[in-house]
Amino acid sequence: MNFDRRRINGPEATHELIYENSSHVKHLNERSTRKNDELRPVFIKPGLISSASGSTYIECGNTKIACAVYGPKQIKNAPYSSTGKLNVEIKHAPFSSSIRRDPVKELEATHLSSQVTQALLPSLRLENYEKMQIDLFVTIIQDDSLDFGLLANITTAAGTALASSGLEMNGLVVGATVAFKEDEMLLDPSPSEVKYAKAVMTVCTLPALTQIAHIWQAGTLDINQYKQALQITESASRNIHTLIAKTLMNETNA
Amino acid sequence: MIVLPGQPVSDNSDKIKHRESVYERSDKLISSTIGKLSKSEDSIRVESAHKNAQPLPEIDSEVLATVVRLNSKQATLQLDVIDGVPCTNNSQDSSFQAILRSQDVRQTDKDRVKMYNCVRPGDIVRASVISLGDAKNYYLSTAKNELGVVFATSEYGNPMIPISWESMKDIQTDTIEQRKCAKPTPL
Repeated sequence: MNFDRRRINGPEATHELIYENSSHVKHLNERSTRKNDELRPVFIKPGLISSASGSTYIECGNTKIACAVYGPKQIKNAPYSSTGKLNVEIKHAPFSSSIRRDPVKELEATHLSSQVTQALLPSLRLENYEKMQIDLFVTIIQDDSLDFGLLANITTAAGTALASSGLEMNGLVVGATVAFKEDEMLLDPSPSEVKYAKAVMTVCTLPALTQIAHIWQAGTLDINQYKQALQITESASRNIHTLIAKTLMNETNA
Repeated sequence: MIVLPGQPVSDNSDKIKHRESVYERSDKLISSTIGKLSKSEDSIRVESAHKNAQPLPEIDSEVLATVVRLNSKQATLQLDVIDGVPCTNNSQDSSFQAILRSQDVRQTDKDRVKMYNCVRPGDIVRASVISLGDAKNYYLSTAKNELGVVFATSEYGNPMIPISWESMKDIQTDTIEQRKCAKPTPL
């Protein structure tokens, strides 16, 4: 028999896996069963990683993201800076998409992390963290919304994790995505909707201050469509903000 | 009442002199962290709800620090307690590092300070932060009666007790070593 003894080998006899009938979950996520301006069900739970100063786990449809904040800690081996520094590291789990992701050569994640940094900076009061660095680690466990949706979900999760770590912030930051397809605005689009969309836009806002933190757009929209997109994302962001606020309140009271 | 970041806590900001974890935005005071809100006539505080929120060293913070290295000009220390709250990040790479320069050890006779006769590696020192310092270090001072070494072991490894402001005695062998001792503060 020819096998590699350094690997963990499976048993000789195997059986096909039997999956539980998951039509119910699918049902909730498909556009045919939700309105154009309706989010997929969102689940958010802070404080999952005990060693971190703050952490969040978020699920939005089939997208699953874990997010951990470490610090503030003293910057070593770097020139003096009078404000704090935010480091964002995003990783896709190898099994996060239908095609295996090579953990060594990851290129999209660096782009995504710079977008997330942009979205988070307006919410943080880094001027109060002289010489400090704040590390944010994001693991994408399952990806069901592509980069635009991921930016929105990561921003929401990261904002909650930063708040739960007790850092000084201007406000909670929340992201929402719309896809524009044949005169329809689709909130929180699925991967196939993004693929066939004329334009996609993610808007990250601080709903408590009615302030926009970051916009990432691909494709063209005229001014009316742009207005409409901002309105849809604003009302969605408010809903998510309410959810986060409730979750954080419960966590604090417990 | 528990407030969240971004939540307005007061409409008129002029009267309020003492503020903690709040910031001002178009004449309103807004909470900047999750915590319990406490209000009075001229003060607004948001007490952070995070149980092990890491306090950061500020000027005039009182700290307890362990001496790590020593040379004739300065001692290098690692901060253990900041304003009565223990530091949570005590691993080598993420702890707060500070230095105590020879001119900051005591108030008088500054130019004749011999670092080796004031602190030694392993001693625990009570000090105050005088500057946020450079990129690497915070700057500490022990130039006050109640600041200085609070715990030290002799060269034989036994704990010592202070017998004057500049000497300590081994409780087992009665040998005397020199330290800049902290005046014991009544509990």
